[in-house]
Parts: sequence; C-alpha cells; structure tokens
Amino acid sequence: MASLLPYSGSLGRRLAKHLLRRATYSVTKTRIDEFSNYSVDQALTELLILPEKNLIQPIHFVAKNLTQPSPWINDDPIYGPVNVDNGSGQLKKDSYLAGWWIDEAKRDTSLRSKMSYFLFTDFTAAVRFLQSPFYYDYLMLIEFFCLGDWKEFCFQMTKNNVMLKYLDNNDNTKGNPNENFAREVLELFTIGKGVQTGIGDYTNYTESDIEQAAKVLTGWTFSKDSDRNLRDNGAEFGNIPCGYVNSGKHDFGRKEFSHRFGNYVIDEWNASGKSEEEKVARTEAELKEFIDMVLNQAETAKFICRKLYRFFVSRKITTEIENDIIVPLANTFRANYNLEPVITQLLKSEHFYDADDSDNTDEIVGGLVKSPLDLVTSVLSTTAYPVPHPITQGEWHYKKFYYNQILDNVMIPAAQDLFRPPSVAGFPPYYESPEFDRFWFNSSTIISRYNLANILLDPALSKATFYVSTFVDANVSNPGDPSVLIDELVDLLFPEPIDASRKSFFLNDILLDNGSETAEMWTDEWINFKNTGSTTGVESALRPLFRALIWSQEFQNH
Amino acid sequence: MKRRKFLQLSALSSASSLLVNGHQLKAFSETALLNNIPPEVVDGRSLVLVQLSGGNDGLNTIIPLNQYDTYANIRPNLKLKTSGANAAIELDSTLPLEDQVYLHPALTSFKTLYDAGKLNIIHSVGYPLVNKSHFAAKALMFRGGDGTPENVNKSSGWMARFLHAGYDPTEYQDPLGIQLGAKKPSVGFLSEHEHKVDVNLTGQDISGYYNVISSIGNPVPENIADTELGENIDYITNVEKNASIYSQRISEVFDAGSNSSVTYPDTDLSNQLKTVAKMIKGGSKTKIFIVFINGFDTHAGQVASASNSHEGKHTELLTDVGDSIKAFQDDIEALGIDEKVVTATFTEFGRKPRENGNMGTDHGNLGPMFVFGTHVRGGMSGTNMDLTGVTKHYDETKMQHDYRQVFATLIADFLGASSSVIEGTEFTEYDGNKRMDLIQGAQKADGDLSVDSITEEKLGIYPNPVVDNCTVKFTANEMYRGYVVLYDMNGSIAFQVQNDFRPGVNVLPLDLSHLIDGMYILAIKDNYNKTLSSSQLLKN
Repeated sequence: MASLLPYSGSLGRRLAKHLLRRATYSVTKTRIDEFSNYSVDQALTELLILPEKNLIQPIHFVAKNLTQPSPWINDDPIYGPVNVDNGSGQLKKDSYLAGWWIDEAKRDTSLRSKMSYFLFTDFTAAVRFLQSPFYYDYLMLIEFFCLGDWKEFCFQMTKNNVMLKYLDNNDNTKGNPNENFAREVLELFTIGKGVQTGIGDYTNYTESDIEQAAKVLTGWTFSKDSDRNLRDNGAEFGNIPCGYVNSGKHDFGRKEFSHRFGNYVIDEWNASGKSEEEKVARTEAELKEFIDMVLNQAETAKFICRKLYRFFVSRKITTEIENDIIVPLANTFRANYNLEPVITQLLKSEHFYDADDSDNTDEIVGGLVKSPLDLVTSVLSTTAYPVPHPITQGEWHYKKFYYNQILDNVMIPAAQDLFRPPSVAGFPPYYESPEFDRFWFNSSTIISRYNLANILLDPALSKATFYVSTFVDANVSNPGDPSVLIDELVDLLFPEPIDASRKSFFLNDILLDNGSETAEMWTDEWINFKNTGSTTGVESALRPLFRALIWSQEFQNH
Repeated sequence: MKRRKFLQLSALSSASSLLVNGHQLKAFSETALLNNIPPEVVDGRSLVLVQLSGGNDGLNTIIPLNQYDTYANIRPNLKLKTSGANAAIELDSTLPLEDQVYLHPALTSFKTLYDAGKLNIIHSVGYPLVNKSHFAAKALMFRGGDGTPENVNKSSGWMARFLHAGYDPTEYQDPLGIQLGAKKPSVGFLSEHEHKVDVNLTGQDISGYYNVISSIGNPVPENIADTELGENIDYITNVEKNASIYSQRISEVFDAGSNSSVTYPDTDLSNQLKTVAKMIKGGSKTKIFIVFINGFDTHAGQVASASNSHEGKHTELLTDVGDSIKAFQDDIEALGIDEKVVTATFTEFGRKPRENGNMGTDHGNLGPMFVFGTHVRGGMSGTNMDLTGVTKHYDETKMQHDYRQVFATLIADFLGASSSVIEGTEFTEYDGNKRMDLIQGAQKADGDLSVDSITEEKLGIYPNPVVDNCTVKFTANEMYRGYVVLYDMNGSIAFQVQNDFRPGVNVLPLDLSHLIDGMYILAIKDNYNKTLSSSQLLKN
C-alpha cells in the first residue's frame, strides 16, 4: 500500500540528499548537512523560499559595437537599456539564454527551477520560433506560475506569443480552422489520450472535440517582433508580453463537444453590434469556459499528476501507485488547481522517501537516470565549479563555457538541447513509455555524457581553473586519509553507499593507481599540499579519481 | 586507470549473458531455402528503413490520375498541376486507367527507379483505428501495434522481436540493428531482453567510435543491489557493454568500407544512407538499418502558394528523400552490394485529403509506402485511393494494406524469416494469405524450409471474464522457470507470479480478486522474460 502520508521524523543524510537532488538543481554539502536535521515540513518550507536571481536576464558581453555588458531582452535596472546591436545572431542569443537559465538553476536553492522545467515539459514550446526575448517571456510566464495556479496558467499560456506561433495559431481562423494547437492542448498539455475505443475516440476526448477546440482558439494571434511590448498580460500576472484577440478571425458560433465532455455546449454569441471590447471579452470567456470544461474532467488532474510523478519520483506507475498516490494527489490538485500543495504533498510523502513499505526492490532513491541537465548541474553545484563570471568574464561565460562546451559538447549530443526538444511532445524521456528516463542513456549519448568530466578538467576548454583539491579540501573532513576521502566523496556524490569491492576500485585502482602508490604516500602528498599550496602532486591523483566518480554508473542516477 | 579491465570484463560478462534460447531458430547456415538461394546470401541481406517523421502527405505524393478533378476540388490551393513546367509526373501510361498515378514533381528519381523496375508503390497503408497523434502512432508502428485494445499496448518493438526470434546474436560480430539520424533509441528496437542487439550511432564519428568508447567508462560494479538504482546501473552497464562489444566491429567495418564516386546530395538523410552503404560494403551483416528524416508534419506551408504548389516544405522534403534514395541505390549498385539491400520508406500516418486552409494538411489516416531495390518486384501494390465521398473534416478512404503485411513480407521473402519467426515478431495475423508480392519470384527466400523445433503452445484462461479466481492452462514444450504476468491497459504490471513449467499441460489457479475491474493482457514468459503466449483477460 503506497502512502501519501507525510514522512515523520527528521530526514537524515540519505533522504536529505535525495530530496535536494530531486527538488533542486543545486546540491551542496552545506545544504545536505542543513537538511539532514529537518523534518519534511521544515525542508519544504525552506524549498519554497524563492531566492533572488543572480541576474534577472542574460547580459551580453562586450563585443563588436557593444562597449559595455548590456541586455538585449528587457531594459535592466543594473545594466541599462536594451542594446540589440551586440554582434550575436539569433542562434547564439538563444544559446546564451539557455546558458543563463542553467547558471541560475545551479544556484537556485528553491523548488522554482525544477518546477519551471517541469512546466516546460508540460506546455512545451521550442525556442527559435520567435526571437529570444519572446522565449524569455515564455520562460518568465512559466516561472510566474511554477508553484501557482495551473488553471490560470493554461489560459495565460494559450495567449503566450511563442506558444501561439509554435503551434500555428495565427493560421487558425474562423474560415480556416487549423487544428494543431487544439490537438496538442488536449493530447499533450491538459488531459491526454486514453485508450482508443473507436474511430477518432480516445476515451478522454474525440477527434471532433479537437475540431471544436480549434474553433474556440480561433482569433488568438501572436504579437510580432515589432509589437512585443505593445501588450502584456497585466500586473496581476507579471506584466509579461502576450498575444491578443483578433476578433474578426474568431468563430463566435456554437461549439458542441462530444459525449466525452458530457455533450457540453459553448453557446453561439451574436457579435453584430457589439464593441471590440465586448468581442474580445467574449473570446476570452469562451477560452476560459473551454479550459474549465477540460479541467472539470477527473482525468485532467490525474494526467498532470502522473507527469509530476514521472518527473520527480519514478517512471513506474503500477496499479498500486495509480490508486494510492496518483488518485489522491489528483484530488489535492483538483481542489483549486494550485501546484504548490500538490508538489509539497508529494515531496513530503512516505512514498517519496521509500518509507511506505519495506520492499527494497522498489526504492525511489537513486531510481531515475539523470538527464543531461541534472548531470551538468549536479557537478557544477556540488563542486562549486568556478564558472567564468557572467559579467567580468562574459564572453567566456556565455560563449565558451555554456555555449561551446556545456551545450554544444555535452547536452546537445546527449539529446537535451535545453529548450529545443525534438517535437512539441517534448523530450522522449519525459513521455515515451516504458523506458522514460532510461532513454537519456544510450549508445549515442554515452560519449558526450562522459565528455563532461574531461571538459571540466581542461581549463583550455572550460576557461575555468578548477582544482579537484580545492573541492576536496572544502568538502572532505580528512582528505589525507584515503578511506575517508573515498567514503565522503561517495557520500556526497552517489545516491547510495557502495560496497567494499567498489570502494576498493576507487581507492586502490584509481587513487592509488593500481598499487603504485600507498596510502601513506597519498597522505604525505596531501599534507604537502596543505603546507605548500602546491597542487601538482595531489591533482595527478585526484583528477583520475574525479573523472572515475563522475563517469561511474552510480553517478548517472539520482 | 586500467582501461582494459572494462573491455575484459565486458567480454567475459557478455559471453555468459548471451542467450541461446532453445526456441529460437537455428543458425542460418543450417537452413535450406527456397529457390536454392544459398543461406549465406540470405544471411548477407539487409533491410534499410527510411522513417519519414511527422506524417507524410500521401495524396500530394501520389495523385490518382483519373480522379484529378475530385482531387483538385478538395485541394484548391495545394493541388499540383499536371501540365507545363514543374508538373506532376505521369508515372506509367501502360497501366489500366484506374491504376495510373501522378508523382509529385520532386520525385523524378522515383520515376527513374520505377522505370528500371526497382520500385514498388504500395497504396493506402495503415492500421485499424488509426491514431492521429504522431507520438502514439509512431510508437504503435514501431511496436507492431494498432489502435485496437488488444494491440495498443505492446511493450517491445517489432524489430527487436524479429531480431531476437530470427538470429542468434553470438553468431554475429555486427549489431543486428543500427539506427542513424535520431538520438532517441528507436522504439522498434525496444526489448525486454537483457542482451541488446542494436546500436544507435546518431551523431557519432563512426570511424573513431571504437577508440573513444574503449577509452572511457568504468568497470562494471561487481555487486549490483536489487533496487531501482541497481536496475538502472544494470541497464547503464548493458548499454556500455553493448556499445563496447560492437564498437570495434562498427569502426572496423566502417573503415573497411567505402562509397563509390556517386554524388549524394548534401543532406543529413543522404549522409545517413551514405554511411549505411559504406558499412555494408565494409562487410556489415546488420539486418535492419533505420535512417530518419523529420519535418513531414505540414500543417502549414506545405506548398509555397496556390500558383507555386510545386514549391514549399513538402517539395523540399520529397526532393531530399527522392534524391537521397536514388543516390543510395546508385551507390550500392556501383559498389556491387545492391543485391543485398531492400529499402523501404514508412511514415506514421497520412494526412487528410482535404486541405486545411493554411496551405497545409492536418493529420489523417493512410498513406503510401515505397519499396526499392534490385530484387524488388517493380510495380504497384493495390490501387488508387477512392476519393469519392470525402467529407469536409474526415476522410473515409479505405485502408488497402496493413503496414505489418509490408514488414512481414519483407522480413519473410527477403530476409528469410520462417513462420515461427513471424510468430515471434507477432505478425502472424498479417502473413499467410496476407503476404504481399514485393520481391522478385526467384529472389524470395522462404524460412519455412528451416529446421523448426517449436510445437504449438496453447494458452487458455477459464473463466474469462473472471470475477475472483481463474485457471490458466498452458501447454509448454519444455521445462523452465517462467512467469505469468498481467499487464493493465497502461502497460503496467498489475500482477506477476513465478511458475515452474513442465513439458505438456500446466495448470495454474490464479486469485485475481484484488485486481481492479478492467481489461488486462495475461502473458506467459520464459526465464529470459520472452513472451511465449498471451491472451486478453477481462476482470469483472
């Protein structure tokens, strides 16, 4: 019997690590130590404190005509007005946006970044369908709602410029309905397909529902590049630029949905003689009515909860999990469609901490394969990696480190071009059953995942001076003792402890180079480093160890 | 770091984990085949599958000549013209009028191949209850399923089932399946077997693959815990092993191979096909290659404009497909390996006959498949789609071929799969009298002349529908420790029990009172997790 009841007692080290790894992209020893003493209530309270960002938007480095670091998206309170003439084309700016997002995520001690990326996997739109400022708006919209009102988010996202463009809604007009957006709203974003029970009938909705939904969506139009700042969604929802209603293109006729929605009808509305405001208001009202109709179905909340479960907990949704976790979680969600109570309930539950049964074979801890984003941020945050500074070393930060190395040489060949998934369904590991997250690791992604360690250890590539000894010194109590060194590094990096033979591999085969060094020699090496500050000796042993730990099969999971 | 340890360990582990299942077909060397085609020749053959991702618009690819007016009516903007410059290509005036077609003007290469007798055009391919979502449909086609409740939840890919049923991996240095062009491993190769037989080489420097793969990674942990993490580690280890085992051979074969002086277009698809040709020339005996081209989801911009319908997204894509396949065929002929290869295109579903008003088409059902090769029976399979009675929003054109008939025919007649291998692929229903005529008579291999030791296994469940308890009767043909597994309609395991099966009839009582009412699939699995038989079960 899986249980959503809250876990009682303090987390302890193992579960604190588990929570931090799953709930954030920022895991450090200090935080682990802190959270080990917390109860789940204290831990979640901490995770809901949203810290200030380091930079509220990416700032372009000095280049070509740009003589000081400047934003290209919005006027910045610190870095001044927008300057688009910075020598970088759209493709590069998209990548710098992704690099900025990763840099912020690895510092973010709250649930915000993970929930934002989760919402991205729900309402997916790829970057490059409009200029990067629009994509920034899309990300800000997601962030605004990441722990908030998902129902309102559905409405807001429908009028988001990137989404409207991505799914061709400018082409969806009264005379010529285009079903693309309507189909994906039902199939991917809100209620999902059920078993196909007949021609065009997918249990949760039918093909004709898609046609009716397309009619509801007619007239919603994205603002073009020049019009980006012409309209936004209001102070209540973040003043985020959005699309608008072209009432002349909206179909005000009757929309009749199928028996799957109880034959629900959105009444015809007589638009003649009405003012523009009234027509726009009616179009918005219809959209909200449609969203209400879909969200009133029991399946919608369950569909989203299953996505949450797979993102944060496990790919395996057995009948037991469906009944004991998904259904009650969906009830919580359906109460007011607020995301915060749902995610906190899930992350406080006995089930999440493997405490609802004594069966070791279904442990949640360590059960998910890390996405390339998880892999990258886990190393960067845990090692406090000295990433080049975004302002004083801006070109290295954006172009060399994040764009050339992290994205081009690791994440993209590892199949996660951060905001450019292969399709509107998103990245297959988030939806393709039964493998799900296992799809991240396959013969075509091995090399690039392993390349991460090599890149981070090579200052010529990373443009960063990283010493494993600095990392070790800050995080291991007694590095001179090789046994303590291995134990504590493994504890910091791996989800579970390792056995003696595995420890021997790291200690004897790697650190002590297959017996060519002794433990005493290592201790002397370390003492010498502490006394003289010379890293040469310790680095020659620690770098292979670091590489082996990051390469390990254990580290690929969390 | 002792890098060699990784390879040594993997060589050892792989030897012990390789499966030689008594149910599988014996090695090809022992089969006597129809037409006296030497077994080694059949064994040297490969199937190249070209995935057109996004749902290709069949009606602008192949236009029924004698229904042009109906076609023009439902496609006022998208219609291709039939005279003047850039006109659609009249394929074959020697055919009966009702069978004649135009080809999209970009497909000059298809015309050349058709005239040379190397192309078979298969009309109206689909599956029952077509699912118009890309993602679900794609998965279904790779799993060998369809929209019916019985077949919508296959957990393995048909290619994996075929490869495991038809070949003993220990006999081959090459991976039995290779995928190019898409980072995510194809669902077609998805399998519950521990030993993976396919490798995804998308984006890899193939020549250097071995060098890089062999220099990275850790040895396998000796003791893997029986937890979710342990299972993941196991999985990751298998992927590494698999890449490592095959990488040397892959790089060798690639380096030993070559292409002719044929010029390929400079596209990603061409590069993938060029690689396939090079590897086959280098001696690869991989049975299935999948290559991939995306972009067919033409909801908008399918054509440039009504007056320039010969330009636009669809044209770019078909030009790429046509020219790449032609270059590939020319290359393998020049290399002298064309008799080893049959190439087939497929797409997840078709698009609606009626255009959508945005210079595009929305998802529909049915579309043509194209099969190419020196040993292909040139011509047509089926006839033109009937466009009469096409209503505004829903096409009611009829399916003429199930995609599984096409694949079953190719693996049987070209690759020599026997009926038990077809059964292992779960394609039996689409074979037999449904087999198509796609391969030249004298080139057909027939695996049924092979040594076959399988006896009929029978599965019965009484009563069915079941309320609380039922009895499973299963006739096994040898002794093994296996499982009875119940999958619910989401594909999750609802119930599982181990059982020691004896040769003959096995009777198992099952208490299913705790199960939720609904439809399930009951599967009998052997000790290697292979499904031997399965049946629907309804719980009331």
